Amino acid sequence: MSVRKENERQDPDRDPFAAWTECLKKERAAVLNTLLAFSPFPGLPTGMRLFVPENGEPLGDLGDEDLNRLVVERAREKLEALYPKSETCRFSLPGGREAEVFVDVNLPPSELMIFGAGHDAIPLVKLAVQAGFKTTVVDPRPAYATEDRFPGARIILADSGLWEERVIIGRRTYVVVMNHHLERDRVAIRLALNSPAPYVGVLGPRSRCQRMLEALEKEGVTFGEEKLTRMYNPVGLDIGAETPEEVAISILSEILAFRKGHAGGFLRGRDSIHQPVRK
Amino acid sequence: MKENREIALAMEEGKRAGRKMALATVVRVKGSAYRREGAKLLIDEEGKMTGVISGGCLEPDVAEVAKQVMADGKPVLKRYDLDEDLVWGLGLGCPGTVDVLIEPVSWSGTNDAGAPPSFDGFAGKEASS
Repeated sequence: MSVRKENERQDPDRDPFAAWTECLKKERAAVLNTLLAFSPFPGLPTGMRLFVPENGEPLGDLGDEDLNRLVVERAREKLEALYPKSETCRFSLPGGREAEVFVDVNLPPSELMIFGAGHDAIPLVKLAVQAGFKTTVVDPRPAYATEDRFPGARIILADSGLWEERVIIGRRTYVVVMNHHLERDRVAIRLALNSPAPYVGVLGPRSRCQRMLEALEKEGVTFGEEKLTRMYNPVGLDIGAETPEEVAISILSEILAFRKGHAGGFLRGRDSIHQPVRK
Repeated sequence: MKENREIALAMEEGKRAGRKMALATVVRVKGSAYRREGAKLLIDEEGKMTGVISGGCLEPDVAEVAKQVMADGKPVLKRYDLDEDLVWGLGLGCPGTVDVLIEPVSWSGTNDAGAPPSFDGFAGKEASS
């Protein structure tokens, strides 16, 4: 067990809790592990901590090397997952020892990137911003892609020819393609399916989407099965949506369900609300 | 996850003002509960609260425990059995068990190493529930 000095404990480079709060503030992905119980050593202090950032080295100590190693492994698994949960984990160690550690995961906010600044994007952006998504609208038309129409969203005003270099899609970026324009939709689909985006919703009927995929194929662009499973078309949950507002609710509900691995549908009669049904 | 950021900012503000604080975190849930693991509530010495850990049933009791935690600097792991607890289970909550870790925030962060843990009926209780 390392002995901490008073001045070290103020320093986020040395103190796990200070490093953790820094990640909370800056919205960076990280895991804070806190020792709750260690048998047969109930006398060990609770609140010993081990901090694991997404980018960087672990910091801190839970009082046992074996435990530290297992906890860091678990934290890395959590950071790899799309939507990991915070939970208390039990670890079995050599010699019949057992430890309980609270594994707390902080993630940066998810992003929603919407291609198309038409009238039907307005309610979707509004809902997404309310739900806490970092929201971006991409469209080349200055009359449509304005801050007035999309309060709270970031706007990328660029022609589709420039999207490749101007638009960055990460592994926590959910994409919805709704340009109402075949050419721009095609470019957006190509960009999104070739990115690490976990979800690519495409507005419109299946036949239209199919035609765009065929056109891309003629241009020599094909996607493997793994990429195509990320495409959601027709987009949204089946709630009978008709107006742009209803469609927006349907799309955002699908994204929320997808993100947590839930299937959508009615909760009525379910014994458990919080368990995902899809892996 | 906007909530975590709000907690961090409130901690920073509390530190600037030199106020004592305690952080309550839901660390384990069994059965139904309003919030899941990781939900946080920050309480300062003046009773100001940031964050939400339940639908309002647990906060008053947690705030009481937080006073003690701020006074003696020792973390407490408290179990709320909402099914059986007569005070807080007056038809208000969900029928679940919630463990809440309440720790002092001295901004230096970690608890005093060596501070003995204070578990409120925690160890070994799992098997009976």
